[in-house]
Amino acid sequence: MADMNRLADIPVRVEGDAPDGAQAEGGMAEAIVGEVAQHLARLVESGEAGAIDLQSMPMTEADKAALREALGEGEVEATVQVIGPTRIHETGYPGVWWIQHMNAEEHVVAEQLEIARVPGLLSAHEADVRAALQRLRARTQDEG
Amino acid sequence: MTEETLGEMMSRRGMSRRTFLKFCTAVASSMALPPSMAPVMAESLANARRRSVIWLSFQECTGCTESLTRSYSPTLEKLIFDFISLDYHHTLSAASGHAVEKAREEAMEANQGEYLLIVDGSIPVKDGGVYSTIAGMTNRQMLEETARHAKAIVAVGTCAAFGGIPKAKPNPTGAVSVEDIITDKPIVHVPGCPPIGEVITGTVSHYLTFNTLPELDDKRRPLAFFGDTIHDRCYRRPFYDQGKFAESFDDEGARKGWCLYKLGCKAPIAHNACATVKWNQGTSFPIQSGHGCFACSEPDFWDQGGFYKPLSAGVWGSAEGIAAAAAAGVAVGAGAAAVSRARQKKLAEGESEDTFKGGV
Repeated sequence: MADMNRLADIPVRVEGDAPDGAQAEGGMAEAIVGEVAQHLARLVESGEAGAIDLQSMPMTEADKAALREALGEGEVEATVQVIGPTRIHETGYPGVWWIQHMNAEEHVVAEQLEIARVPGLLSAHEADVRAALQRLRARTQDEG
Repeated sequence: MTEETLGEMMSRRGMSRRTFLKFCTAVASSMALPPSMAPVMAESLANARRRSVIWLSFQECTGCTESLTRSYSPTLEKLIFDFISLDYHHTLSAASGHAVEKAREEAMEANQGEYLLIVDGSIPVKDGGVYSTIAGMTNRQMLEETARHAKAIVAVGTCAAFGGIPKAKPNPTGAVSVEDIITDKPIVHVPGCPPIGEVITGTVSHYLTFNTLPELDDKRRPLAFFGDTIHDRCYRRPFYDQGKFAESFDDEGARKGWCLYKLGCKAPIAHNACATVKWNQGTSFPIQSGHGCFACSEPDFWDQGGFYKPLSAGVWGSAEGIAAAAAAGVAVGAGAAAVSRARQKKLAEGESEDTFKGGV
């Protein structure tokens, strides 16, 4: 029992259809794929990046699975550790990234599709780069 | 207020700007802001300075504070406590007695006209306000004194926003809401019993980030969270449109996850974010757990004729509820609305009496 400290650790057996209707597909996946195509067209034409918030869509688990299948898996996977992991993977369509932000307990706090050449979270911020330079210089001076 | 920016503060602790971006992405998502806003918010927040916040608790159950603190530790959203200087809060304060009252007075003095006042709980005004006092002051006195130099007030929870359960009939303490007493300050309502933790965080973050209060509805609730009804965003909504309803809590419809409207679900008139933000780290919300919504974010929800009576049969149902449900139906298909209106009429005529055996 010691390690049964999270809701997900409690075994649940579901007979028949899940009682919450989560298996019903509401047709959201196709609509979102269409929106992705619009964003991708903008990226191609003007270089403008975009994002689609998946969390605020009324999607069932089945919808999400259908979307995942429609977009597929690409070449890149990355994990960013910022107060819990953020998992990023490129879908089968280059420039379309599936991003899952989790908190320290690994619960999803935000989930989005980002349509960009590189997801914003991956690039180092100007302020951080400057701070890094200062730290490196300080280190060199200490050693020198 | 310190001179250091939040960006500098976090950097000193070894945290990068990615922390801000991730935090703001989560906030933007919960506020249904365009995802493209997140980087802008992150920049603005990193350049902001810590703000003094005074939190007053009156006639309340501490559920609002629990909602904010319990669901988070030690996660991303808890960063909000790094971004503010929480100078006074009964439950969370380490100090007590005169020392903590002094902290409130000092924060008011040092941040005159700049601090954010958060209030949870209603204010009893009957019999000179004797039903709830803190450090020898009635709640009303403390609210008036603290509100005087506040920049804005966030009334957290249905009690502070609308009077809530203390105000429920017969309202023995003469409980009133914050806006019944304070009329000359910007006030935001974040109702709910309790409100969703992310909604409290989102509203405060909006203030920290944009230095303004979010856009509000006619009941002073942030539109970002309260603009839609639970019904608008409910994953069971397709069943409503198809006319598939659970008739009791243990019938085939209930097991299949059909719409709970006939079992008293008040989602069509409940403005809140439960259907999208959800509860317990996004695990579920009442309807997903098989129980109707009882519209705890609406004024006087406790006195609306029973949690298990359909809207059409209750005090709420006759006008606003049916209109809301029917109007939403039109968006999906005029046929659905006509059907549902006929069904609601039938329900109103008493078809629903035995839906919850054992009753309330």
